[in-house]
Amino acid sequence: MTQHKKSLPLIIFICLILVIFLSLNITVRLLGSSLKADMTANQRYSLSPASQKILSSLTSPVQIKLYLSNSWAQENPAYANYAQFVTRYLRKYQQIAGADKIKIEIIDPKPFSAAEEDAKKAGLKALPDLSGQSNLYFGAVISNALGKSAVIPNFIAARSGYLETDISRILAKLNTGSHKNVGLVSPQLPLITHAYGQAIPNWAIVAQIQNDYNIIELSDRIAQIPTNIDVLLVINPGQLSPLFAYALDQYVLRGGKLIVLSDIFSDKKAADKGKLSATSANMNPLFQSWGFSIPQDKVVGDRTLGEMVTITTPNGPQSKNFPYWLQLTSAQINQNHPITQGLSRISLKSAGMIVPQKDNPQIKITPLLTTTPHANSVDKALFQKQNQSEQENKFAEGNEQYILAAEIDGKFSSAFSKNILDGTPSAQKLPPYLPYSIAQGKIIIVSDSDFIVAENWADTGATLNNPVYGLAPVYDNGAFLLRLLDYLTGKEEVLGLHNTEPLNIKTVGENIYTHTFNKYADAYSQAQAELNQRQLLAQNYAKATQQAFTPLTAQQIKELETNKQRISDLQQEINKIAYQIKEENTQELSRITDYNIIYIPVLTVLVILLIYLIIKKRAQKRIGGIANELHSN
Amino acid sequence: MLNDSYTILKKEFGSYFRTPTAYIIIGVYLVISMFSTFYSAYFFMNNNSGLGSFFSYQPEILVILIPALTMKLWADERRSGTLEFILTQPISYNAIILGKFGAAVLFGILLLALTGPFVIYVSFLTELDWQNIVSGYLATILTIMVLTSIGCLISSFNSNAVLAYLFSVFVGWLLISLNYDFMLAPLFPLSENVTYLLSQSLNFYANYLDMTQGEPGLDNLTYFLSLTILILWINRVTIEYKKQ
Repeated sequence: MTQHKKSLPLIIFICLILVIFLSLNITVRLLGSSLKADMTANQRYSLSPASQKILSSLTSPVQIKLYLSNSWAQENPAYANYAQFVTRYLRKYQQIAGADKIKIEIIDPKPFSAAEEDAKKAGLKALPDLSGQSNLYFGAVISNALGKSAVIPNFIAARSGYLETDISRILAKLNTGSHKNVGLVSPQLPLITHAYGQAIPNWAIVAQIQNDYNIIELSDRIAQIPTNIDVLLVINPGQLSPLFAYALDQYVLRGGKLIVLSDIFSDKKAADKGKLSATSANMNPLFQSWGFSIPQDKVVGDRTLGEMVTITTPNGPQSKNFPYWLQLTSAQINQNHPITQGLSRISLKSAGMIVPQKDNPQIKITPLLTTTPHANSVDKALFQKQNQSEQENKFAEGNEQYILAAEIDGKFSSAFSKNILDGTPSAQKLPPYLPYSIAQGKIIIVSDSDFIVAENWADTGATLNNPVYGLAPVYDNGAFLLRLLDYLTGKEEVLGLHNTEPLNIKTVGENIYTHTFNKYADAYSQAQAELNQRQLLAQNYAKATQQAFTPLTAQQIKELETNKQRISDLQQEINKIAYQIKEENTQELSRITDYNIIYIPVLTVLVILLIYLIIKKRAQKRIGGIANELHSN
Repeated sequence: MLNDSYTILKKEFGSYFRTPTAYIIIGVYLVISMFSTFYSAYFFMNNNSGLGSFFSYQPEILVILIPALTMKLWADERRSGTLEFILTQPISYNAIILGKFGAAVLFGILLLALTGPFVIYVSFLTELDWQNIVSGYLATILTIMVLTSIGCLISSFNSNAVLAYLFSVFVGWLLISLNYDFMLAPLFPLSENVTYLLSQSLNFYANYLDMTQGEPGLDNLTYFLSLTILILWINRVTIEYKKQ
């Protein structure tokens, strides 16, 4: 009894400090994310002010169901890291918005479970595991209390730089009402296919636009742009019909928002249908009434921004700087304009130049994309005749800086003197002819259309049948076009969203392999290039023999035999190099492991022991000295 | 008080090196740490810019090794009967507790410092995120502090060092591995938010991961420091209580 009485204060004391401990921790946690530091390179856990604004304006609670197969982590540790990053990122959204605004549910959709069924129904895309027996999921369904929802079928690590943009755009989309309408006119490039009464996007960029907007396809033969169009996107018109030119003219004068991608030389069309069909309509009569023009006979080149490409030269394939395929960096992208602010990499192919007219105070032209001051232009007719090697060879550096994309803002005059259908019964069906703008017009002109081709700006290798969230952008081309639409439709809340540098997902093993490979890279690529050439030669011989039906000469047979022997030697050589790389890489990995697990620990213990012995000896010496001193005294 | 603490710290810290214990612990720590980094945490298959593979198993390794440093701190005093002598000296209890605790923590920090060559080695293999690494090391130091305080407390209850070691490992393991959510489940219908907050506040790994993944916060620091102070406080009270 006395013992119990003695222990009671101690127990009460311990309970009391436990309560204090819990209260303190909960209080600090309640203070939330404002007291968190982001101690990572590139501040990868920090949400941009634009995302924070979207979160603060959420009108309805949002639920995020993250479907994440646990077995994925066991199969692929690198992917497990990305899953952890995504989870943490979603938690960041929750921390900022509050647990009552965003609820996160993490679900492991085990094979044949109800959760797996739900994931499938929601539209998540599964990947087979290593055994091929079961499905692995890593995607999310984001929905709000109003019944609106959006799905990310797969999170892919290569798109990590766009994670914030993707999630914030979805939240903004759920938060706002109906989608805006984008009118699309693309008579030359088949952006959309129609099947079974449905419009199926052919190009990834269309799917990306469709994710946020309603796309209404329009013909390039109409005389009036429908009034329900919020922004009109005209891509590379082939021939501008007078009716459609009139429609565009009057649409802009009524304050309609317009984006024109007018290509002087469409590389995409050249690849599909031949070089001579690769031009766009001459829209200069319209452009001139809007305060600028695009010279139809000039293609812009800039060696400083040229892309390194493999060009077939008379001496075989060579890596060369191709000045007509431009890789713009932040310096050439207007960082003070809301559309282009924060964009750092845009690629254009064989672009034209936008030339502003000098004497029009009512029109303001703001460059969005430019070349460096060392650009030059070449004659388009000559450009079309030359092959890539000649185009590269003949280019001379200049001292011009060209505008490649611009915003045109102001009040315009009509390029027409009257209603184009005047004198016909249809004239009454059109709205009254306007000679001048009745509202401020906004036009964005880009002198290239190839920049929207997904292969030119994204790694399309692992899209997982998902052209929106499965694309891993290498350039900001897609973001640029989306921002043009966001800007003109007034979606300011998403304009400030910036993609960040993608996470460095290269593993240590890959780094070591690259290092080992680089030692043999020259020998490997030389052998590979020669092999390709000799295989091509063999193919050409075979084709020529089949077509000519003539027997080969002794000289040719000898040449063929030599070629065959060399191909075999080269294949052996390549295999040998590959084997050497593999062996050296394995040895390097073992060496690193052995050093860190055996040699460094043993050496460290010995060094510590040595240091201790030295200290001890010195101490003993000192004590001995003091003892001797005392003894002598 | 600080001078007294420092004297005790120096004495206790030096005593580790007078026996082979220190060298064995250092060797074992480095080998297990590296082994878990390269094999259990798939060093080559991860990006490791923040040394994630290295930090992922540190709590488990320290749970085994830190009690080896703390098991004798009080138990030996108790067994040899010097505890009463120390407690009657004109030194405050806080100074004694802090001195002993500090010596073990300092040894723990020394263990971590000895992984420096590994970090330098890795910096030649991949690009490192130094801020993240600093945050990870801070998390590990705080883990050492919590585990040391647990070890000190349990050692103060026991005169048998082996028992103190086993209990410390067990309690440390409970702390780092146990998911308290099942205990909090009955609270869930009452308030989802409070339950979530409690679950996050008590979860050792959630706090540890926040820091090793580069997102330390006042909540994590409060968790580790308040837990350490709480346990050291209980340590002081029990010693005082035992003396009475």
